[in-house]
Amino acid sequence: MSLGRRLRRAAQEAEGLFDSKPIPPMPERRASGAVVAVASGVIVLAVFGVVALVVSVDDSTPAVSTSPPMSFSSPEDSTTTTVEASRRVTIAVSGWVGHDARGTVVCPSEFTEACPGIPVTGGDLPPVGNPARVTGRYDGVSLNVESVESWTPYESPVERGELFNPCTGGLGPGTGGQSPEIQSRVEDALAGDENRLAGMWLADGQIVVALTGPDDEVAERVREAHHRVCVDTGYPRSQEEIMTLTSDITQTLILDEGVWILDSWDSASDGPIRIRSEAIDTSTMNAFAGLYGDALDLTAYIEVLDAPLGDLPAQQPPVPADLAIPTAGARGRVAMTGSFNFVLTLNQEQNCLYADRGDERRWLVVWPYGYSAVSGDPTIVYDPAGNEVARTGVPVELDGSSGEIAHIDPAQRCDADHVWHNGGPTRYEIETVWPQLLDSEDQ
Amino acid sequence: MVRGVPDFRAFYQREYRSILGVAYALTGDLATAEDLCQDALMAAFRRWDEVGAMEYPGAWVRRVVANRSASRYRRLASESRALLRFGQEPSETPSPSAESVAVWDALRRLRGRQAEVVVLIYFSGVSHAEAAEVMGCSVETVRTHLKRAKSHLVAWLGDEEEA
Repeated sequence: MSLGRRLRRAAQEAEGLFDSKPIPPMPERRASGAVVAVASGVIVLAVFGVVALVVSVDDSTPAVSTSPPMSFSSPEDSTTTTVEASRRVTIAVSGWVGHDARGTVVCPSEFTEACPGIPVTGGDLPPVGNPARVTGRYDGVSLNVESVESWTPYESPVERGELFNPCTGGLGPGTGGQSPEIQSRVEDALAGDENRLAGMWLADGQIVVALTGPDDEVAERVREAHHRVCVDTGYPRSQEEIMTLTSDITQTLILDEGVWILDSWDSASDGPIRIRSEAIDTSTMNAFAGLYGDALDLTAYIEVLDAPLGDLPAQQPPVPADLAIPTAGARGRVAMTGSFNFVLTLNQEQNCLYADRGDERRWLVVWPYGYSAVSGDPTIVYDPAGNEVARTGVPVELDGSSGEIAHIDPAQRCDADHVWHNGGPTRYEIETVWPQLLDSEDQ
Repeated sequence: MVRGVPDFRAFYQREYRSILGVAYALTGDLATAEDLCQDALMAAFRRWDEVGAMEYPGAWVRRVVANRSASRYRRLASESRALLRFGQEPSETPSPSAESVAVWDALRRLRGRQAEVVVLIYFSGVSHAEAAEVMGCSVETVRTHLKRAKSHLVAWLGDEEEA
C-alpha cells in the first residue's frame, strides 16, 4: 500500500476514534488561559488576566457594601470568597499614576483613563502617566500614602526593540517573511539534541540560535547549518524547560493560590520568567521566590504586606450603588471577540439587569471590575471613576466575548440564557510581533 | 452588530471529536490529547475573530495540535516511564488498528514543520496551496517539508513513496 494511502487511512481512523465520545463544554476565557506564541524562536507568553466567574451581592447586603465585593474565584470552580470592606491593611501598589473624578489613582496598567485602580490620598506622587510604587494603609476606599518609591515597569526585549545579536558580522536587515528553510536546517542540525535549543530570533539579518550548555560540537553543527545562522551558547534554560516552568508556575499561582495574573513574559534571551500578578501577599511571594529562585521574577500590582491576601478589602465604588450587577472578580483584561449593541433592561421582579441585542436571546452582562449600578428610571451603570457607561432603554455598544451561563449561579442569572463579558475601557488585544526575516533567494 | 465573527460554538461542536482524534494519534495518550485539543481550541477561541475568518479554521487548529504535540509527546514519554516505575495503571484508551498505530508512531517522530504539513494535507485534506496559506509560507516550502517528511516516513514504515 502506498504511503499516501496509509496516511489517509490512519487519518480517517484517527478522526473517527472518538465519534461516540461526549463533547466537553466549550472552552471559557479563563484566568489560566495562556497563549504561547513562538516568534522566531522567542517565546512570548501572554496570560490573559481575564474575566472572573461572577459574584454579586444579595438583597440583604447593607448600604456600605452594596457594590460587588472583590472575589477571587478559581477558574475551575465558581465558588467565590467574599471579603468584607471593613479591614485596613498595609499594601504596596505598583502601577501608573492616573487622575479622574476620584482624584489621584494608581492604575494597574498604562491605560489610566477610568481605570480600575486604587484612589490614593496624601503623598507626593509623580505626574499622571508615570509609574510609581506607593505604600500605605488601604480600607477598600482609598490608600492613605505613607511612602512613594520609583517603580520600573518591565519591558520585554521585543517592546524595547532589543532582540540583541550576540554575534558580529550581521549582513543587514532581511526582507520577506519567515525562513522555514533555515529553521528546518537548524532543526536538522540539532537532531537528537533538541533539548539544547533555548530560543531563536532574528537580529541584524541573522537568525540567532541560542543554546544551553557549552560551545561544543553541537553548536558547531548548528553554526554550519546556514551562513545566516549565528549561534550563542551558555543559556540557562531550554525552550521546553521555560514552557514547562511557566506552565507550572502559572497553574500553581492561579489554581492553588487564587492569584490573578496580569502579564507574563519569558524568553531565552531575557533571564527569568517574569510574571506580574494582580494581588498577592508577601509571604506567598516569598514562598514562590524560594521555590523557583532566579528562574522567576514575580511582581504584583498590589502586594499585601502585613496580612494574607484574603484580608485585602473589597474596593468600593465611587457612586452610592444600590443595585447588584455581576462584575469580573479581578482587574484583568478581557480579550475581545466581538462587539454588539445591547439594550439594558431592568427586571423589576428580580431587581437585576439583563440585556437584549435584537434577537430572541436574553443576555447577562458581566461588567469589568469596579463597575457599579444605581437603580432608577433609568437605571445607570458606572465605571470605576464614576462615569456613566450605560443606561436602561438606550442602545450601547459593548466589546467583549461570550461566556457560559452554566458558570453563573442560577440565582444571579436574571433569567438570562447567555452571558456577555464586557471588556470595558481596558480593552487590549494580544499581538504577536513577527519580525521580518530573510529574503527567499538568500535561503 | 457583530463584526464578522462566525459562530465558534458550532465550529467547536463540529470539530472537537475529530481534532481529538488527531491529537490522540500524535501523542498516543488520551489525557494528553484532550489537553492538547482543548489548548488548540482555546487558542482558536482567543483569536476567533481572526481564525474564524480563515477559509480553513479546522486546518489551523490541527496545525496547532501538530505543532504542540512534539514537546508534549516527549514529556509524556518521560511521564510514562515514571508511571511504570511507580506501578500505576495506564489510562483507558481506544484501540486503533495495528496498521494505524505504526503510522502514528512514525508521525510522532517527525519534526514540527514536517508533522504540521503531513497533518494538514492528510488529516485535514487541504491542498498544498491551502496548507501554505495555513502555515504562512510558500507552496514550495510546503512541498519541501512534505518531501522530507515522506522520505522519513518511507524509511521508517518501509513503504514505497507515492508518485
